[in-house]
Amino acid sequence: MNNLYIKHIISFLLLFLFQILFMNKIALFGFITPMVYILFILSLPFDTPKWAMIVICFGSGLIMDFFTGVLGMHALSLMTLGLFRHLIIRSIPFRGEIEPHLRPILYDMKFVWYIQYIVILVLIHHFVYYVIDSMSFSHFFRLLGIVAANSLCTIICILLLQILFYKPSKRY
Amino acid sequence: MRNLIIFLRKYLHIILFGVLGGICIFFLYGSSAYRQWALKSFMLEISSPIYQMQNNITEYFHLKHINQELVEQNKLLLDKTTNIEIIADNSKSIDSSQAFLFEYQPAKVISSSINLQNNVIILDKGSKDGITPDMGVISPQGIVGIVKEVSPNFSMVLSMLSSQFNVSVKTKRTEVVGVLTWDGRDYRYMQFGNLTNIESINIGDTIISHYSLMFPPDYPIGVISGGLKNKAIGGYYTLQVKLLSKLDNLHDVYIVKSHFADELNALTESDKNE
Repeated sequence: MNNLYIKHIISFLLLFLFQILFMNKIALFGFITPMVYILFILSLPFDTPKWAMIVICFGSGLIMDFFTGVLGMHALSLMTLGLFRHLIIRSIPFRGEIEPHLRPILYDMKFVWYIQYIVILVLIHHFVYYVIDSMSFSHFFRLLGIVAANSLCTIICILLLQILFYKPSKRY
Repeated sequence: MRNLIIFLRKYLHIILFGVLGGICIFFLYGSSAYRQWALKSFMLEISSPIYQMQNNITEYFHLKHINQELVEQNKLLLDKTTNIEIIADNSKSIDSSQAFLFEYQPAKVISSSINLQNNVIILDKGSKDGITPDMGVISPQGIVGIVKEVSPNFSMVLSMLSSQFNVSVKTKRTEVVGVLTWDGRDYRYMQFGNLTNIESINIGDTIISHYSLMFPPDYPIGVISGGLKNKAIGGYYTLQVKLLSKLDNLHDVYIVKSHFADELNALTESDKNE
């Protein structure tokens, strides 16, 4: 069990360093910045308590905010992601039973399930993030365009990271 | 008790989300002037309709009082128009450009306070009616405040009863110029300060507005009520002024639109840049 915690802490450190040192410097076409660090929240175990989910999201979001300058932006959007995560997990149909040792990562779940899971949650997170950023709906379609482009990039990056660095979970 | 615990266990994550989300919004509010404006405008749009509902009901109880005020104002205006006619008859060439300097937009007070250190008043006119920040607000009796924040349908006015408020004023009879501020103690009195010489001022002198883009010139504000025997602090005297407008009982006010404010501001800006 301890082993599992260490695993999550290491993945947290690596993902956040990767995001802060590389991804935040990218500005593709001037407005696309992939946010791969949310993969940490997305790959937490299925049985994480809901309240712990919110607290983890708030804490890690604030850490990210310290590095990007505006306190509250990442934290609030990550918390929304954490709030919706268990709803989305329950509502996406999965053939068979989700065994207790599985985690929501690409190799543990079916590809179709995983794509649905990632697309919905990344869209929710990015939408909240860019709404907080612009604080108005006056350029709504421009906002949607930015959300869609950024989400696409984030999803591609997350899938690449999953294929390269994650392994299927073992039975205990 | 058991039900409460069950309820808490079930909805703990939503409560946590609310609390921590509030903290996030608090951080965001302080992060930039634009976000501050956006959140304030959002809050104004949410809260104002509720106050408006309350106001719609309570307004009936004040109708008699409002009528009386309007009658008094009518009388005042009638006096003024007759005066103008006399002047126009005497001198055929009168400066007509003065007449269109200011325009008045009537507005209703939705909520107001007098018990805080920085009091605000909320009016039912907003940017849709052409209201912008830094416009003056007057009541039939005297000046009231300055528009601070504007949302599409409502506006927030910085009341005279605020530590941030100051306006240049003068006495009507002897034209001694000073600054009007509020010390935060009594909502009926304000302080007329920055005076070097008070020999020509008597108790009962009227205070009127001085050169300003926000308020019409020579608009009455208050009456000197005391402080003539106080010693000068740092070479400046401060007098007590009793306000003419009843800020504890405001209903109908006028927002002052100055047609040349932009032009004059641009002029002073260009002067600074050089």
